[in-house]
Amino acid sequence: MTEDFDSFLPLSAATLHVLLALAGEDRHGYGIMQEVKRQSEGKYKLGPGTLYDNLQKMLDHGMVEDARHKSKNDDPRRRYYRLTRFGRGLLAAEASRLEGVVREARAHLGPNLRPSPGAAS
Amino acid sequence: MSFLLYRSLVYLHPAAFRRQFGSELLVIFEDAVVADGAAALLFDVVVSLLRQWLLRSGLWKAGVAVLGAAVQVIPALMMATRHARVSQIVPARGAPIEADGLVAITVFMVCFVAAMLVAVVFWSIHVARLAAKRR
Repeated sequence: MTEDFDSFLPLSAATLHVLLALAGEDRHGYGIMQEVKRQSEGKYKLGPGTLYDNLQKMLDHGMVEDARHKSKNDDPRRRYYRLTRFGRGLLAAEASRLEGVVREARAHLGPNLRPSPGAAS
Repeated sequence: MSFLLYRSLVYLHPAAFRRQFGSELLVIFEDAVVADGAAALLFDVVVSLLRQWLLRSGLWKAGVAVLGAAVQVIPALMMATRHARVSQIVPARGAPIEADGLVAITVFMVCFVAAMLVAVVFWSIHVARLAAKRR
């Protein structure tokens, strides 16, 4: 199974954020967009075109699947998505990879990874 | 007005994508238009339209195949017109065929057949993938 994950890693920013948005609960498209915005503190904004392009690929690869509507009052045009077992495993594998990246960064830059003021200028 | 334009742009997406996500894109427009503004959503759907047709539909493969064919055919055609006049390509009955013209015609024909083969192979791969997706 690890080999399967390896062929997908590293994940693109959009795929990572969508998987992360669905890790907590099943969501519809707009819900995913809002959750991505919240998780990234507004720094990563996912447009609907990019979202559905990624969802199409993720559905094809079995990372996410259709889920049931949460309530009967939901707009029937909406579709809900949820992580599959494979998607959850892939997210865990990516998180583990990123942990390694952060560990390396800490080893070279020190424990405090916050950029110092004016470093970007 | 902007919703009408947005809906038209969604409608122009490839059929498979439109069937799968078209209605959801319209719901998102209704949800997000106040917060994000119509201009941002219209820009996003135009980018999506280009992405779906040029990258995801495999149209770029047909474009590359045509370009590849042109790269091979055009120089051969230029060579043929340079070295062989029509009278040499189609010699009069009984007249000797000049070697230059014959070589040019042969090169042209080989390049043309090769280019067509490449185009057919790319196209059939694309069609097979589309058929597999539909299944």
